[in-house]
Amino acid sequence: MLDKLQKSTTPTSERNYQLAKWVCFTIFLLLIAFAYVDVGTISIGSNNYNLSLIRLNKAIAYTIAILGLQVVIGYTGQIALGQSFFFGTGAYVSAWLIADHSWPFLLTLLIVIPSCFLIGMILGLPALRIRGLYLALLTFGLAAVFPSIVKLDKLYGYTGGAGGKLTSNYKFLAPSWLPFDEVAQALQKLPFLGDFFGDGPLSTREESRLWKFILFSILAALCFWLVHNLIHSRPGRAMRAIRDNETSAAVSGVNLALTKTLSFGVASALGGVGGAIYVAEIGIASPDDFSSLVAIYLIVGLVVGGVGTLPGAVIGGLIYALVPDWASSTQSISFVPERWLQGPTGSLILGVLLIVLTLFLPGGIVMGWRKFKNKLLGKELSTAR
Amino acid sequence: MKKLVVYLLCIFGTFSLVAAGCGSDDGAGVRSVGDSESSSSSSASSSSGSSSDSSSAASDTSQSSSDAEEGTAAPTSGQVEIAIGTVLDLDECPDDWDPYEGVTDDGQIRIGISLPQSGQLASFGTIANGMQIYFDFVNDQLPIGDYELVLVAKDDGYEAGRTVANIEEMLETENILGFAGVIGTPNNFAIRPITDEACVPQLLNLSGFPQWGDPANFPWTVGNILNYVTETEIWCQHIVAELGQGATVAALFMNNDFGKTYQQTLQGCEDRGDIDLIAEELHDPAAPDVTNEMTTLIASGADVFVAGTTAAFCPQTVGTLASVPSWRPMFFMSYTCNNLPAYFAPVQDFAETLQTEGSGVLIANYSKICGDPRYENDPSMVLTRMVLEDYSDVTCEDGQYSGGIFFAQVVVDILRAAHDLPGGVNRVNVMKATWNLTTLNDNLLGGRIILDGTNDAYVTEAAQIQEVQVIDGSLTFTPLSDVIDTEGEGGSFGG
Repeated sequence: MLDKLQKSTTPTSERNYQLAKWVCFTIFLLLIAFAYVDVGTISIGSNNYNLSLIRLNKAIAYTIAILGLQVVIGYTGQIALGQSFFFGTGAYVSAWLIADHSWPFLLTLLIVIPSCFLIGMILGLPALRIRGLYLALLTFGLAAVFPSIVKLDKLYGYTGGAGGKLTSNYKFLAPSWLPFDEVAQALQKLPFLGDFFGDGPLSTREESRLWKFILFSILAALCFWLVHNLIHSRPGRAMRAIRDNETSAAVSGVNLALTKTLSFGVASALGGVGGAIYVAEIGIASPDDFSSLVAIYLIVGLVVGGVGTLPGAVIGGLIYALVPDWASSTQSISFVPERWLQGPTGSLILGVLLIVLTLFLPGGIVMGWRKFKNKLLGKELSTAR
Repeated sequence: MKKLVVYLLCIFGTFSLVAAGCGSDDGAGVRSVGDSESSSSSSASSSSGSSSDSSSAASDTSQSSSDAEEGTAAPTSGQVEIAIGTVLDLDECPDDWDPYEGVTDDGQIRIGISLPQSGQLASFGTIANGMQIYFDFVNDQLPIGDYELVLVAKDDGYEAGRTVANIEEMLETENILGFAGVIGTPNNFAIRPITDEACVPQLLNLSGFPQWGDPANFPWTVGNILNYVTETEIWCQHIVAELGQGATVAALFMNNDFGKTYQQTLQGCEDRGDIDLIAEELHDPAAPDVTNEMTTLIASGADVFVAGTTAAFCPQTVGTLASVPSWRPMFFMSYTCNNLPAYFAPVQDFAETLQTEGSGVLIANYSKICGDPRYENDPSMVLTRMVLEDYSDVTCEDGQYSGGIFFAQVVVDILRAAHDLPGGVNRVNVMKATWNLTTLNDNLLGGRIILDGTNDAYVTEAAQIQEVQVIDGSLTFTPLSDVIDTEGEGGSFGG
């Protein structure tokens, strides 16, 4: 039926349809935000799983970092495993400006984005000479050394050393002109669903949390819009040409050096934005939060979500933010000894997901969903990404 | 238009499904401020009933239950001086703050903890299990009034970001009275602004960082274990006593605030001329091993080797040093490695080699260690073994469970003292009981815990240099010095 509908759609109505789709999505996000402004709990059996804006804000940070990986790995085909380096750089630069110079969060992005972009381009230069496993090792080295760099005594004044940089002096207060309270109270009066939007006016902390979620969502939407436009532009086509066949791309006149370093720069800038959002949510930039394990988890998010797909970044971010916590919240499963559920079950689940999806669904969840949908509708899956 | 309708239906359908699956019972079972009167009376009546139980407990608090029936309850608004130099500004607490949150109508006292149950430091995760086991014992044998203690534990993988999310979510969903035993310096740093702003007790941080003793500025936060500065000073004194001034030292530090505190204090010793720090190596907390760093330190040939590291790195340093017969320095190790079954049993042969060749591992211990044959018949260890045997299927040999029992005992002491105060267990009384705590604890080598606001803001201040030895095939600690007790001399971080 959808197929018929699409065939009968004119370009103007297609635009209206797209617009309506995004309006609906925005309303959906706002409803989610108001519903989960106080932490919600999903109960399955005797296990309780939290869903809160705190986790969702972290998921947004990871999503943007994985979006950067989509640019450099998914669309340019360069194996870059050092995204936690840029994630951490963005976090620390933002934390330093907020804590020591009292900059507002949004203003710090004016420094974070260009600085990460430049660092990414410079560190992407080796990609002009090496590729494959060697490039992977080199970039992973960046991720491995990052915690040690920020702990250097000489940088203590900027990074806070091993204890991290606290930004608790900065209060993320919602602007007074935003009618959060009024909207919340209106939603609470909805028939049947009103109970899910809490009770009474929002506290200052809840308003702040809501404001952060909306602001971060807008930033994420901007990032997705920019990357979407980039990959459909001339440089984006050049990136995909490099991914598909580097020699052919060079023969076709693609400037390999410029395009590769550009993709590294864009990926790093997105990593930086993700890091800045992370520190704005958590309130501290701590070295152990940007270890090489984070780089691996981001790659897991990329692969599980779907390499070379924009929605894959969202799924990857959600999985990274929620799976480890939900795994540790699982206290009992029938026929599974309780002691098996203690410890690194989150990492185990992420690892199993990676193996299973690599074997059975190489395109990740997004490509799997597309295959399933097209099979259902009897359509051929387009190979073009 | 049809598409729009279809999409709207899909979106609202999805939302309804998600919403139907969620929804916390906000406030359910939580006592409100208005209930404080009844709480006071119920706690008073129950405390008298439990006083005999309390007196027979392993640890006795100095707060007498008769106090609960006299005097007036501490205010739950305004500025309240709860101890010397320690003021709670309750007017700054959130509008919806309730001092009795976490003390539920169905008789639960709910305590939260966030600690690494995964990652490189996952071996500390069993501390929460040990605490739960002791809570089960207390609930069964020595209840605090009519209350049942409940521990809510969350894994943070030693990532401060996950600790923050855990703490905020627990505050919102778990009806938490306060937190106890959160592990890690950056982790506790990250949550301190949250607990301070939310006016929630952050008790007994499992980190020896000196800043946890600062009641003048952070009255809602208190540390627990021996301050790493005090520990390092004890090492320095022992080095000077044994080798004289100017002994050369090579040191391995974990590259975080835990290791850096050791490093800075040793550098202070060097500045005083007590030692000559000739080689220092830092290792990443997430590193797989410390072989490279150890190779560099071995090449220094120093008189003393200091291992300012923890968890899985403790046995690694023992194994590496034992396998190099050319270097036999005086060997100090962090007391966080003092779990004999967990960290020394896997390298018992190496530890024995070092002992017989004059490089036995020296640790400034502040507590008795379950699993050490020396304390086989010690009442505190007998109690620990009995609790583990009766309330779990683990033993002292299985890891950090016994450590969890020890930490839980201090939490129980505090809650019992708070319960005996007018007003019963609430967040204000918990902090009042904490900053005025005077209790005996047989687990500690010093035997007592004294907190007195800014006069004395540290829980554990007595330690003894002990050597890891293998006697008759069993690992044990052999004392090499008297117990060095600085109880009451610690002051506070803020001065």
